[in-house]
Amino acid sequence: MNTSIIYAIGAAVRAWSEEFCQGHGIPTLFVDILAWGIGAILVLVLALLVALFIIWLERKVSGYIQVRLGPTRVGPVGLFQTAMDALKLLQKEDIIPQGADYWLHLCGPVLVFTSFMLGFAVIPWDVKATLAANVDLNVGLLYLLGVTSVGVLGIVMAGWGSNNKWSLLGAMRGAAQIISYEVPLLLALVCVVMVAGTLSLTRIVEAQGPGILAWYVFKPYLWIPFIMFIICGTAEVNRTPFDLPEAESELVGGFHTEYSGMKFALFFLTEFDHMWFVGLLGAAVFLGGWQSPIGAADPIPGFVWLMLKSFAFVLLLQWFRWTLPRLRVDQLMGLAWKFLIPVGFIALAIVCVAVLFV
Amino acid sequence: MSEEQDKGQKEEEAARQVVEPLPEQIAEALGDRVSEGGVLDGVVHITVPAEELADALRIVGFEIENSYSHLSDLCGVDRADCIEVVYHLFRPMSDEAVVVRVKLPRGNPQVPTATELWDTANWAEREAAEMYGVTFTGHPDPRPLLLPEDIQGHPMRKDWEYPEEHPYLSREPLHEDFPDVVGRVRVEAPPGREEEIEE
Amino acid sequence: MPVVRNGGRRDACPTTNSMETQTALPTEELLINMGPQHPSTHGVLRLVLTLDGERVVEAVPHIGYLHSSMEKIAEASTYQQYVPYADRYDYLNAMGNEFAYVRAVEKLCGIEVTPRCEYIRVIMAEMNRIASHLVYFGCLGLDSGAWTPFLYCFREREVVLQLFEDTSGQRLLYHYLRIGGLRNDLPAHFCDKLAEFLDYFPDRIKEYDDLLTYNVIFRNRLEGTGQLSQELCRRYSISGPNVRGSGIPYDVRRVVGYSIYPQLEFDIPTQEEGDAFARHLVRVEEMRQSVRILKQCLEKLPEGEINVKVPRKLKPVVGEVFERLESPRGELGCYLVSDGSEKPWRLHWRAPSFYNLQVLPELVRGAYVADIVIILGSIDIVLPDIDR
Repeated sequence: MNTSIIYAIGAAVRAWSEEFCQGHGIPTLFVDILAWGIGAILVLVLALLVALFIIWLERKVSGYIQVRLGPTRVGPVGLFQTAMDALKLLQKEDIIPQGADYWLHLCGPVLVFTSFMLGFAVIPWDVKATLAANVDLNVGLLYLLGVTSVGVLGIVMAGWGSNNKWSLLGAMRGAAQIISYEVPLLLALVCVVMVAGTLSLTRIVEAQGPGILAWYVFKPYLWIPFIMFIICGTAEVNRTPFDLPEAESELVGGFHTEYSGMKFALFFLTEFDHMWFVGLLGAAVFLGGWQSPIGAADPIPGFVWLMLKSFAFVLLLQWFRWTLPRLRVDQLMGLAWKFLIPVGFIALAIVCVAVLFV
Repeated sequence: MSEEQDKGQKEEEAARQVVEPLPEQIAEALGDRVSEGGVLDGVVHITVPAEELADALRIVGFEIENSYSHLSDLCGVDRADCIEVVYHLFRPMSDEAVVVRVKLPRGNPQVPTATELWDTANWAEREAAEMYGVTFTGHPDPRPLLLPEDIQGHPMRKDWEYPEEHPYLSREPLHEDFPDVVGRVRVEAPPGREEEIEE
Repeated sequence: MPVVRNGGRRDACPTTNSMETQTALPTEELLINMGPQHPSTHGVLRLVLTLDGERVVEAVPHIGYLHSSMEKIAEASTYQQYVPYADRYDYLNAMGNEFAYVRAVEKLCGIEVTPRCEYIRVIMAEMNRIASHLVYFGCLGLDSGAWTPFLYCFREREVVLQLFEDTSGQRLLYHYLRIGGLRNDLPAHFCDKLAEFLDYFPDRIKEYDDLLTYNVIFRNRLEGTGQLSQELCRRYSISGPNVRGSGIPYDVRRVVGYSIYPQLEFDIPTQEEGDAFARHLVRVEEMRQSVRILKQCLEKLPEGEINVKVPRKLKPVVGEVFERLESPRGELGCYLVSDGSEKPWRLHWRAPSFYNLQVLPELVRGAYVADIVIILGSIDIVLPDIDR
């Protein structure tokens, strides 16, 4: 498969607009800027819609696990429940606590939201269909880890700016946790990079095709990195059993205790989008991204496969959340530094040997 | 109730009041520290003067053989003529009890604390202190426990009266059908206490 | 103002201590209010915490937010009027509280109740113990971050509450026990429904255990957390599953042998370790023992009257009585002083949570913030029982 529907549509529109510009004497740079803008907005809308859907899914999954129904009233099987909730949150009063640092309090959720939205720029949606298609970033993975780790700054800003000690504790935990788990996550991804020989996500996906057996998850020397990726991914998203920054039973609400209205909604949407994001990354890196399991002859668009794979990750994380209790902060740190990082280095050594001799 | 039944009940009452003498072991150990004592329905009751209380509790609780070292309960009782502090001690893993009580004057009741023997006496003494106005000398943390800091008097005493001027509650009836039940929440503060309502 | 921590309580915080010597950064202790509005203080308990990072240096509990002068109310109401108030101390053990109160009054008045009444009372008390321990189990799950066990526990608790509702008309505060008897006899379907529940309930306990108790994260959280030594138990008069988790088989049902408990066969589960996990195991096993007791009660339940005649104006003799029984939280005592009138002269509750909670500052010293929640959950307190 050399092309995809998304690419075909994009290319057609682009060709038409370039022709139009040349006909009217407008510089083609304008088309580039417009294309990026429209692409960014499309991804943003998609991410928000998916977040709403994941929240609904979370409620349904938790309902299924906990022997209850979940939302049923608003729309078919309660599908519009989260949309209504988002509307409600939009109308809510935005409360800034007394003594809070206004700008930090405001910038916290914005930074968290923006930083991980930037990551979507390099996700390969389909063949030749990253957001910046003609600028296929050759250090995509590095860029992605870089921008998403800026989000921790937002968490610290939110915790510090709220003028609440529980928020501060939550923010400290969040910073410690995310920075700690970035290291084993990186080690797991470096293993893949070594096998693929590139940092570009598009190339990594292309290297895993065609056919299901070419996916990295089926290479025995990448099994350890895959499990490490799942653990660290869960920790990066701050979900049970690693939901310490917002541990409700300990820290009230953690870093977002003092947030209400749309700022809270930003944290909330980010959390659920982040799950999907981890799913997309995991799908791209280990499950062959948009590659179809049956090879190039598959008529189903690669985008659909990517969605299915990423939602498999999302469901896995939800299953974790509704089954497991929470770790304590020292156990969390111990797991990262005393177990995952050594294991990561061992896995890296195994992969080195495998790349050399297999 | 007929007279006959009444009479029968009184006889029964008299029978239940029969007090046996203290068991030798306790009587010997305590000596003349006991001002009153006896066994009623299998429970040893001891009354000691306030100044002997610490010794008596230590002896009964820890020094005698098979001591009564489980402090089950500590509370105050208003006996109209005096304030009593009652200690319910049990032998561990048994139902054998000693009730140690100390009678205190209503004016300035003072007893030594039992927190050195049992840490658990801490809160129970704080409760008795605020409810009955008993001062437990040597108590490590004599703050009020259950009641607000600004309460006047000691509410579990029988002569305690509902305060005339309360910052939050008025003497108006809660409901017009029940004029006796007062305590509607104040809308306006009593004169001189406006600030408290503001807070 | 940055203050270098003095060495006052250094021994309690070895981790931070070593950190400090390495970096010599000026650090400051954090004073923080846990409660009264906090999701896991099981009501309106307020803990003033002094934290050193994530470690607790000192915890000072403040209680009294739910104080409702229940003991003063007793002095203003007649003996019969007070029964529904007894429900409202420890609302998770309403039947048990009524049981303690009516037993105290009956002992004071010399009333003997009928055998059938005794059996039904014990059935109610044990059912309430199961319901209470289910709440404990679910809440400890919530405290440790696992949401699902709570829903599962409430699924079974619902069955028990439905039986209570069928019997007394109420789901939480029953007012079912009366002085000298009961409000009414058991409904016709009660025994069948209860027997059916008792048949499948042990399997459900196993399900909870598989889901939560033997989860490795949960065990790591609980094991070694909140060590309660036998010495601490004695000094703080700890009772109930807490003391049995420290290896002391102290159970008022066995020690006092009130009501029909001497005629029933049951074990007193104990664990030696004294940590939160030991207390947890004791409570889980106690649910199984309650099932055993209930099965025997259903088998032996005699026919006959449930009420004895009690004068409408109840005037006990002058005297006093201290009646103890085993609530799900420990030794529940009711101290009743009568002056011969129809109102109690003094009523005092030996509330198990009140005495058990006092040990909390000792248990949480040097622990992590997250451990406070676990320790509090494993002591299993009910706030209205503390404040009264």
